[in-house]
Amino acid sequence: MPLTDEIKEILVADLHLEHVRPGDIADQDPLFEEGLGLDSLDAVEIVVIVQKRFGVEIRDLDEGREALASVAALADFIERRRRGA
Amino acid sequence: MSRKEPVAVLGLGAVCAAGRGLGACLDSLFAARRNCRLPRGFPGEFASRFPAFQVDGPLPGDGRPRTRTLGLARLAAAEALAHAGLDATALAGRRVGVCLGSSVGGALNFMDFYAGWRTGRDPALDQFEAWAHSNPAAALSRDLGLSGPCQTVANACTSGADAIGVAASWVREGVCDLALAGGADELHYLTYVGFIRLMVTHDAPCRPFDRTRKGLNLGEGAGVLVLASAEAARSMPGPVRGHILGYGAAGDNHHPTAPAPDGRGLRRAVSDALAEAGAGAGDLAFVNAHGTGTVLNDAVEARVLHELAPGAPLSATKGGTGHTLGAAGALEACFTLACLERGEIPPSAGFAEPDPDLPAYPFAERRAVQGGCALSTSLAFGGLNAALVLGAGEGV
Amino acid sequence: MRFSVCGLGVAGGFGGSLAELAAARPGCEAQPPDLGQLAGRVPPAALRRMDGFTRMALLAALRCREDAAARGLADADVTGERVALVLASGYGPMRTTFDYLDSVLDSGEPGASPTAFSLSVQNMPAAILALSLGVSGACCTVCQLDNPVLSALVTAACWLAEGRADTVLVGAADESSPMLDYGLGRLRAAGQVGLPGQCNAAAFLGLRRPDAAGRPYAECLELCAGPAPGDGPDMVLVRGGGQGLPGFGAAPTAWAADLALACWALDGGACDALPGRPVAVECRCTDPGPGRATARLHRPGGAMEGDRAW
Repeated sequence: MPLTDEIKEILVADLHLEHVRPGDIADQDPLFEEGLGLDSLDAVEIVVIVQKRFGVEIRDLDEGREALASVAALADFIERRRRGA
Repeated sequence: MSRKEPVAVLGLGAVCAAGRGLGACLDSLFAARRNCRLPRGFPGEFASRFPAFQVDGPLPGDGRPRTRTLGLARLAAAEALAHAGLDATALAGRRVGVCLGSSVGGALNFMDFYAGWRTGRDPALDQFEAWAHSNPAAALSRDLGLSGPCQTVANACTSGADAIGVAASWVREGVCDLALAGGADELHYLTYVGFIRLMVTHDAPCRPFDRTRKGLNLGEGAGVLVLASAEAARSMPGPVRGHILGYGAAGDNHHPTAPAPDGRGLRRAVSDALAEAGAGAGDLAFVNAHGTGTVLNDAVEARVLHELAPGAPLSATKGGTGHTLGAAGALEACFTLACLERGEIPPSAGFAEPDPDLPAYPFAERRAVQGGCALSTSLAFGGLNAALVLGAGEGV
Repeated sequence: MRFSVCGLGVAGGFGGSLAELAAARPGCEAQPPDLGQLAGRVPPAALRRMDGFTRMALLAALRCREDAAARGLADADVTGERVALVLASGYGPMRTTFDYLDSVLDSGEPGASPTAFSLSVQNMPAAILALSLGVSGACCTVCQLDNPVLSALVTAACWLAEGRADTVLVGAADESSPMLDYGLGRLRAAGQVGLPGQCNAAAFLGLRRPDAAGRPYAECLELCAGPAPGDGPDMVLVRGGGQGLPGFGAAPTAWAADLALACWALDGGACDALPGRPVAVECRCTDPGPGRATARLHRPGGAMEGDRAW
């Protein structure tokens, strides 16, 4: 499964987005404010999810802002970190 | 909110990392001493990175299992009663209420017992037993054989301020003649981990209102006040040490964990407290801000307080105590009353450089202040806001 | 220090109405409440942040508010800055607390859930209720094992008397857990007596000052810690020493159910324990310690048709 699809499944499950189907989330959709409409509490929860599920640490919210802009941005961040960048 | 009768304060008690006893706490605050270290006795990795403000030394007990929170509450209550010249005999036959705030104190934080149960073992009962018998207000009420109402306010970071406000209402409405009011919270590992995971903590001593602030440090402690009706105060041996002049409490109705950026709840709480006190912002000698050192909290407070009370110097004491959660509002009420009496506020430890984006900031040095009343503000998770206007006692 | 009860709402293993609470059978407190009715009233995005405890309390609060409106209170009387909220509980949002503990025990610090942590902070259910109900006055959570309902009512009555609020929604909620069952069982086995029980239930009472408009259920004329002075009404509900109406079991918040049923019966609701539409009811909580309490409730407007008030 492509990483973006995996991320969507995990977000829907772990954030209890019962009213959303993973397939309905577009890769480039903003995660916060508009788009999926997640908030600051979801942001810190995603930091934990990314660490638990992908072994990648988001050190602070400045780093987080870029990484969490969209599913595509997050997939990119995870892949870069895994490559050691 | 209409003008209200002042409620007398007969005694104060305080314990936190800055000291055991109000005098010791004030000495530390005025010397800008910061007892902020990596926490002792915690497992895991966070404890090697995120400092906290822990109370040193043993806490009073009676040999039965009890939580650390209750130990802290008992210490502060004992000091407050002694300060008021009251003992169990003096309280007998009077209607005495107990209203204490705590965020950890009632919570089901018996981690080892729970862990044991989860794996099907029969763990040692102490931790669970301690929880069952350590509800702060109920335990103090039992300790002293009191018969008035007792309430543990679990309002997170405004608990201490709210407990004082609620108890003042009880006294004013004649539900009881005297009340022990305040808050207590221990530094609990589970709370410590939770706040770090919320990414609102700083991995260095906190910097309230500073340009480079990054978050809060947790602390622990307890603050207790003895409140009395005017009539009860007249029949008591000691002097009146201060007054609760006004209390305001309002919700932001914005978001579960983030404060409303426009500070609407804080505005209403402060306005209501001033209205009850019959005071204007110009009457305030200073403001003891909640000032946790987080980016968001300090920004909201600086803007709102600058708008509502532009002439009042800001005092941020969490740089010397850490964020003591349920105890904070009560500890800060004690500090506010003590500073009113002294006519000066301590240096705001941790603050060095103003944030150019904010219209207000505290002071890095001690500062003389003038006036008969001061404001203390508290903000909590869930968008709660509390404000207390506190007044000087006799002879000030 | 008096108040009127202008609305009632309940949710629990016994059902969702006062009639069902009145007919509750022992053991129902172990059953979870039916929360299906929330789906139509709360948007899914908001429900996401509500655990079972909060949903149960919210359902009872919504019912109370709708009931108050049906009995003559205006919208402005039940939302906004002049409405306060007090939520009493013995154990708080217990399951969420245990979810958080699970996350720490299972995954260590890196996996500890900040959402579970913040939702387990005991004031969060009240805060989320306030947000959901559009109530922005004072908001207080009372958490203790010894009759949290008494002090919640005392505080609400004070707030009304001093004009801090015009309406106070006073709620009581508790949920159960096998873990707590185990712990309380261990304490009993070690010889401790007078321990509370558990339930899965919530009740809300809408309080106003005694001059309330509309059709209040009842007026509370006396509320105190311990026994009340003088003679009281002939109709008495006693809770303590193993006695008490079912519905909320022996949970710390059970006294709220007694008060709700007393109001219900005073208004003419059918209740076997309080037959024949009494004029006045005394609700007593008699366990020793800080939980002892008495409330005397009366039909609104004082004595009627020549009946003795008491």
